[in-house]
Amino acid sequence: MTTDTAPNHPEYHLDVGGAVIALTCPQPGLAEGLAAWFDRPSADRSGPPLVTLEVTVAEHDDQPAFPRSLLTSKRLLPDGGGFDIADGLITGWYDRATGRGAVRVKAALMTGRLTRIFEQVIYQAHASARQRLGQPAWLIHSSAVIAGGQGFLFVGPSGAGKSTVARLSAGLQVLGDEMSLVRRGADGWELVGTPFNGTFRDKTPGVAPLRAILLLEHGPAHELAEVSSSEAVAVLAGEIVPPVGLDELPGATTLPSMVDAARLIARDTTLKYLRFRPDAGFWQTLAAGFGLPDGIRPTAPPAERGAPDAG
Amino acid sequence: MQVDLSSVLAPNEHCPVREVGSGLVLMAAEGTSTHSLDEIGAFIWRQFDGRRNLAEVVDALIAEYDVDQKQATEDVQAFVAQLLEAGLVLTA
Repeated sequence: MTTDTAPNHPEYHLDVGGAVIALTCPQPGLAEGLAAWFDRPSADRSGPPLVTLEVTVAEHDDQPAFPRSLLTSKRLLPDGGGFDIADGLITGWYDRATGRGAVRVKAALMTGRLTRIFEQVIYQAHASARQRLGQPAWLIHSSAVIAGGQGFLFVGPSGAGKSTVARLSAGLQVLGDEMSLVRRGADGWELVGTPFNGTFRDKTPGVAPLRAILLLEHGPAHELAEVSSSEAVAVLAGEIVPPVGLDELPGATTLPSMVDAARLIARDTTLKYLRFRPDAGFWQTLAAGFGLPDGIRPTAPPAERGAPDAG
Repeated sequence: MQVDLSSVLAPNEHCPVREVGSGLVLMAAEGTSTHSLDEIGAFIWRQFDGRRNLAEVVDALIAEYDVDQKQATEDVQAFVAQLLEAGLVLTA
């Protein structure tokens, strides 16, 4: 294990809601592959990154299993030996004092949509970065759209319609259909787009005041409906990414912190059910319900774009 | 699954519980699911003290809310079955 990263390797800087993570890429083409996967150029280097990770892609002969959650298959190795995820699928180390570390990833995980599993390593890097930044912010499984300068967060279980909402919001500023960030700003909660990918590839970076959180349900018509505060917190807490850093496992405070975060956000934010059918008319319901300016309506959905390989 | 009225239940201490409004929010021990309880669900939950059995919990529900014995028994048994399935309570 070393604590220094070779200085001349290409770096790809990923900005996750103001927390910059530098991915050092000694292998040719990896930095470009990551930029293509995240569909963003390397972030502005005006500030130092909070976390610097050297990423190495390892060729392999085996056919590894791919867990849905990297946290449940993560082990911390004894004597400060770093971590192992899914029996060698990902190995690495991280030093929280310096914010430096390294991950070695089997090549299969950097191919096509499997790269979404690799993104979970970056979720952990983000948690480590937030610890260094001392600014609370939570990644939330959701789709997010800015309309009329206001941020709308859409949450729900798989199949509830998060990607459908993103696709039907073309022409508005779609931040993403997989992972959004909610952070405390000077004037209240802010909704921030993240580089993480779902199936919607035309996402746009952005930040806006968080206007409302909509709990998605399919229905015969577009309708906003009330939700009890306890139900709203339960749904929201279930969509928050466990804030577990690279050198950590989920602990006794992890789950309570997710419920507490949901309670904090819900205390200051309007949460409602949005029952909708798969057409863009739900934006008229939102415009009426939240006083958006006239003319807020999406345009035709874009053509599907495939996902590139990262590695 | 029909839960016997002589059963004694206690909260799973590994599941975080928070009061929100008049209800409760609970999270399964592995974070695999979250659950909300309304006011009545929260009332029943608070009876699970590791000492009283379900028959006594039903009596407490009847004393607090306008509900008949048969309905209260059915509701508590169905509710407890869901909580046990989610691992939110344990038999004491």
